[in-house]
Amino acid sequence: MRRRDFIQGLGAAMALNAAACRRPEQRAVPLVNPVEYVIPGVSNYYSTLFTLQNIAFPILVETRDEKPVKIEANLLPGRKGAVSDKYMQSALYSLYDPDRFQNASIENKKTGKEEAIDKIIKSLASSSGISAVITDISCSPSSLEMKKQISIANPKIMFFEMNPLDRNYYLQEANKAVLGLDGELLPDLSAADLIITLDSDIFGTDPLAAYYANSWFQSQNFEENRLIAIEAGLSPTGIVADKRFAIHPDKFERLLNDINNLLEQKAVISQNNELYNEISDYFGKNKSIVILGGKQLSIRAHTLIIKINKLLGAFTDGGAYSTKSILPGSEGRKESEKELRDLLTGNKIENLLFLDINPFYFAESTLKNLISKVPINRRFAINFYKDETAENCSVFIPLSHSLESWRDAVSPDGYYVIGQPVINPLNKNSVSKEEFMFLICKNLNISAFQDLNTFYDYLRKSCLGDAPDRMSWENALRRGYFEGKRISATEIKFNQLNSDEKIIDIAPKEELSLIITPSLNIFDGRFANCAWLQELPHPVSKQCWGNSLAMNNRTAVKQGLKEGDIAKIESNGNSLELSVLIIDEIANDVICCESGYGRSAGGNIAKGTGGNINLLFDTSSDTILQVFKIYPTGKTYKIARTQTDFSLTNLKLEKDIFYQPAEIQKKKSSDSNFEYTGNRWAMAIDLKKCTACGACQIACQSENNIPSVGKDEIIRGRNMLWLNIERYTTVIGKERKHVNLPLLCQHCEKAPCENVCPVAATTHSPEGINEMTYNRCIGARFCMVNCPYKIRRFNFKNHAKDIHTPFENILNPDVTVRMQGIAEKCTFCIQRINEARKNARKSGLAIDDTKLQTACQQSCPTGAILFGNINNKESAISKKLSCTQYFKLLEELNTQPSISYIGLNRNADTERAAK
Amino acid sequence: MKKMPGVENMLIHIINDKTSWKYRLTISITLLMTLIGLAGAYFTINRGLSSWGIHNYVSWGVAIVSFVFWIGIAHAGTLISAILYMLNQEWRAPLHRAAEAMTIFSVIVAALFPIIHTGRPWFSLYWLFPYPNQMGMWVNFSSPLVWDIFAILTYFILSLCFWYLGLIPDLAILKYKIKSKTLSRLYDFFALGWSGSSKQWKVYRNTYVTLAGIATALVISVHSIVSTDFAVTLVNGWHSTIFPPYFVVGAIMSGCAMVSCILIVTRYSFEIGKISGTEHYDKLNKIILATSLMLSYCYLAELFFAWYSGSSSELGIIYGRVYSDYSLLFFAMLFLNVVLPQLYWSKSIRNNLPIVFLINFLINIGMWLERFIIVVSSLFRTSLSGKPEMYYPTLTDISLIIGSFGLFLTMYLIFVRIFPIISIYENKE
Repeated sequence: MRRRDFIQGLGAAMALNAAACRRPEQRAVPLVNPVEYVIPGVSNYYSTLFTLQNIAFPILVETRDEKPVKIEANLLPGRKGAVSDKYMQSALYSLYDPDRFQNASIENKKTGKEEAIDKIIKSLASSSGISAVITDISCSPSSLEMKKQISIANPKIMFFEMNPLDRNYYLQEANKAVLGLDGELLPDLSAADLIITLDSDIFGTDPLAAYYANSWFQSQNFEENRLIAIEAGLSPTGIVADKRFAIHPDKFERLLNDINNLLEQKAVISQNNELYNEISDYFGKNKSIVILGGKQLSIRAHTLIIKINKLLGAFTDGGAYSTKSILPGSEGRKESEKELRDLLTGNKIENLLFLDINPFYFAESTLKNLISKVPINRRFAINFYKDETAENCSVFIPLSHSLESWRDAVSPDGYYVIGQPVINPLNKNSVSKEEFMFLICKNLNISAFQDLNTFYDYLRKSCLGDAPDRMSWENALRRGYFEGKRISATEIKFNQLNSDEKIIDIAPKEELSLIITPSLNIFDGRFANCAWLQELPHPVSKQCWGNSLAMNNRTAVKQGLKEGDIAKIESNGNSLELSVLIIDEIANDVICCESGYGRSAGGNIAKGTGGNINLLFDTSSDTILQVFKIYPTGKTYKIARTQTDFSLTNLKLEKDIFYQPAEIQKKKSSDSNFEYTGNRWAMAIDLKKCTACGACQIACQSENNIPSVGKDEIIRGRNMLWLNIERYTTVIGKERKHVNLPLLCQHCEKAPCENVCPVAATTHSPEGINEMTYNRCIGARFCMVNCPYKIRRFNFKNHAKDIHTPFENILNPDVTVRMQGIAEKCTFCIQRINEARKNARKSGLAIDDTKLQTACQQSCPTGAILFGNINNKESAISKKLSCTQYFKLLEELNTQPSISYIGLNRNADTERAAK
Repeated sequence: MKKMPGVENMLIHIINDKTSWKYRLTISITLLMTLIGLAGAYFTINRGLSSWGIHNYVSWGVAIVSFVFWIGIAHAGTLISAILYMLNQEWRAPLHRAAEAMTIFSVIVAALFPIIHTGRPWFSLYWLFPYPNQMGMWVNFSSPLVWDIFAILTYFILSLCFWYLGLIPDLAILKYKIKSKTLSRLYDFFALGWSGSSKQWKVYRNTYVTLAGIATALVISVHSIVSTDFAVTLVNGWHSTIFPPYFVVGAIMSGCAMVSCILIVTRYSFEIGKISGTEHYDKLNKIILATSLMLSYCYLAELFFAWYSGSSSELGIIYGRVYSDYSLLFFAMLFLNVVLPQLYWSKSIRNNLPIVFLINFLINIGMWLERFIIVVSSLFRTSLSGKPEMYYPTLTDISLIIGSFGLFLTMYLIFVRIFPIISIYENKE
């Protein structure tokens, strides 16, 4: 090399070195004054409150660095396990929902919050006519008190409640007429031995479903108890029922009449011997029987039900209604709605304020027209999203999220629950319902409010009286509720019952009926902007992202329809196009449709999924419509469903689920050559107890950062849920039986996915868990191919890209967010196991597996899922499996899963069959 | 065996002459097809596999179908050059150079598919290869995909050596007769100083026969290993011991069909017909007929075992093939692979090249369908649920298939112009 070249090379090397220099030093400053209690990476749990209409759920919110990341049910005394449902789990989604961040506006012009509040309160207080404030039904004692105070101070401000789920209040009316009480009686299902539901979806659409499921499935002798469902459609209650009768709604009253006659030992008109035999089996044998009717039944049906329940002894000691407690917040509804209508019709209302309610979506056209008569500059809305109602009002203020504000409520169990905020309001322009009422009170110069600054002061004062006792307040907040029940038994008189009402004997007409129920996924539409709930497969039809007209094949053929067609349905001059879905278990001449879909405003996700069936209502109509026309349009529609075939073709599996004898057979021990010396994690799922409520699925999604993939991806079969609940049905004897099969990674001992992965990205842990190493995965999908359960999921897209601020806060910091192109699946919540291991190591003890729960297990209201260490003979799962017959899924493939399923067959059933 | 007079001059002409407009048009079309494939590959990597038709159930789609198809195509080359050489079948002489080239090109095309098929191709490129690292992290040697890597790599290297070895004497002959300076220099370099001395010939023949022996074993092993991708799994319809012979037979059939298709086109393009007969096509077609009969046996055995197993899931797969949307494909496959080759019982059809081209072209389609049926319509039913989850390829999927043919044909067309497509020394008088 020449000297010149050498120098050149040296120069180039130095230039490269210079380029590779470090950036200038920038000093970071540590957090020297940290917030007390907040340790980075360690969770804090706050007890607070979630409400669904007038049903209160005490909850625990897990926060990380002061941001909520997970919601769990708060355990209540007297209850086994969690009372939790999918709506509670999804409250996080709405908290961080990017669509909720709107400004307060006056006539569509952005304004400050204070200005808008000022405008509303001034208008309400200074009007010459009546100012109506419409709210959803609630069970908040403080709100009730404030409403009372406001009405006293200014009688022109009137509060009304509307219930989108119950338009007729027949149950209330019947209760008032017969029992002389105002409200709904709350049955205690744990006291019942036999429940007969008549078109009452106690484990599905009922807001109390989680409470009901918890009482029924966790009751002492659940194994001996029976549930009979009589219904027109197919509901989750019908699926888990021991016996189900699909009956046209026109026949309901007649059936009740027959049951009544049977009990009074009179002649029975029609023949439903099976049902009567079931009732006779239990009646008069010191068993507690109760019949529960759906709210949409007629007044006469409700009256009959009360009569029958009295005959069955449900109101006496040991019966389901023996506590005689009234559901909090169910009082005085009928009058309220009627009065509102009268005032609107008489043009007496000058101002209308919609406080957390969306009648422009759910109300029938008559009511909508009445509301629209109030001029738009006199309509105000305080709603969570800028929804249909907000768009039709001149002033809009966003509502705070329930996790951002102080609230109170009385739970169905009778506990007074305080809801404390767990995060500062993310939307600075928002106001809470209670805070707003408090501001009205202040504005009206009500004396009790004069020396108070915020609603918090009022709440605290009203809870503790004038002598604030700091400890009892803080204890209540810590616990989540005040000790001592606040519900007492009410007085019940039985009016009318003896006056033998004439029951018409004319045969039911059985006309084509359209039954409208609230959505099992998004309720009355208030959760429509939650992608988690939209994408949750429907418990019955497994449809996601939309609603359909469900009917059986016979009905469909009669109307010239088939699955996937778009049908047009017309009633009262309104029409709607919806896809048709076949569910053969639905009664003949019945069409079922869910409301809550077809939103035209209220967030990007809410808009444009399904159709708004509420349009078909008219004033007088029940939720069962008979005056309508339905005809095919000739168009077809691809319904997004995660399961389309519900038949079990695998005979072995059918036998395992439905027939397996309940005596314990000796299991072949695993022929694994690995000896588990430490922990061996396993799960047991009791199929008898799964109602497919979906709480576990949403909990899993929340815990494990599972993205929502959207309607198109679901149509293409790319469901992302790690826990899929599949529904299977088969005919046994003459009866059609159903099972909800929660399907998740089986964590096979001889996992087929493990030995085919080319890069060893999925391996077996020494504690029996089939682990996934995300950053090693290249996405060859061999594991997915070889998994016989097909529960491995693949990131076809980069879903993390779709996360918009502040939604990233919802992510569990303990769980990796997966990128495009890799496989994933259930991990048995490995992050929770590791957390427990870490804590155990700190305390020097073994992992306490009684406290270790997977997300699905923790959220299951029925206790269907058990997770634990089977090497510990004292663990709950070991005990359960040692005394129960169980099966493994697809045992014949010798994959040796860690998940044991407990089949549907019960001792009681076998005995009955023998009889 | 008749020698081909004038083969040397003809080949020199093919290489030296200016390209005709037909050639230029053809290569433009194949290049366009390649570009379509490249666009598909870009979409695939950029947008993730969501642009494909695959889903949770059928998570392997046409990429794997094409992979198996192209590996199958490769087999004919080795069969013709190695097995027939070992068996002293002299009629192979006009075929084997082109067939070997085809082997190499189709292995290249095939190897691209598993890479683009993965969700993160940027990692799969090197994570699939075992290399020592400080983490002690190795590939999973029990995975058939890793066996594939070894099998295909071995096959590719050996095929390349074999083809190159065959070229050496020809390159030495041609290097003085080629007009292009660059090519001439290239030939000179790669001829490795070949002078044609008897000592060289002796070494040459020994090496050739050794490589041929190894390649013979590979013909059987490579596709057997590819078949284990399916046979060792728990998937109904795949989990079967007949898969290795089934795949090898299918591969030879499709490979021979492809070779004859391509050579018939080449023959008419360059007037090779003037110097060569049709005997080798006759023989190839006999092989196709024989393998078709074996394949028919495999189809029957597959049906029989599904029935004999008594497993509802196994039977479900067969029902699914017959009654689902794929039934048309299934019956088309049976017709093309079982019925159509029976025409080759007739000697006149075996020697009528336009008809042979047509039949063999259709057989290739049939063989592609066979792989589609095997891959897709076994995955579409799980052991749990009854209803098949259908899979339909998307535009991206189809563009990748088009691209694979484009790339293969482009490489072949370039090969035709720069290398002798017929072995000169074996065919010279």
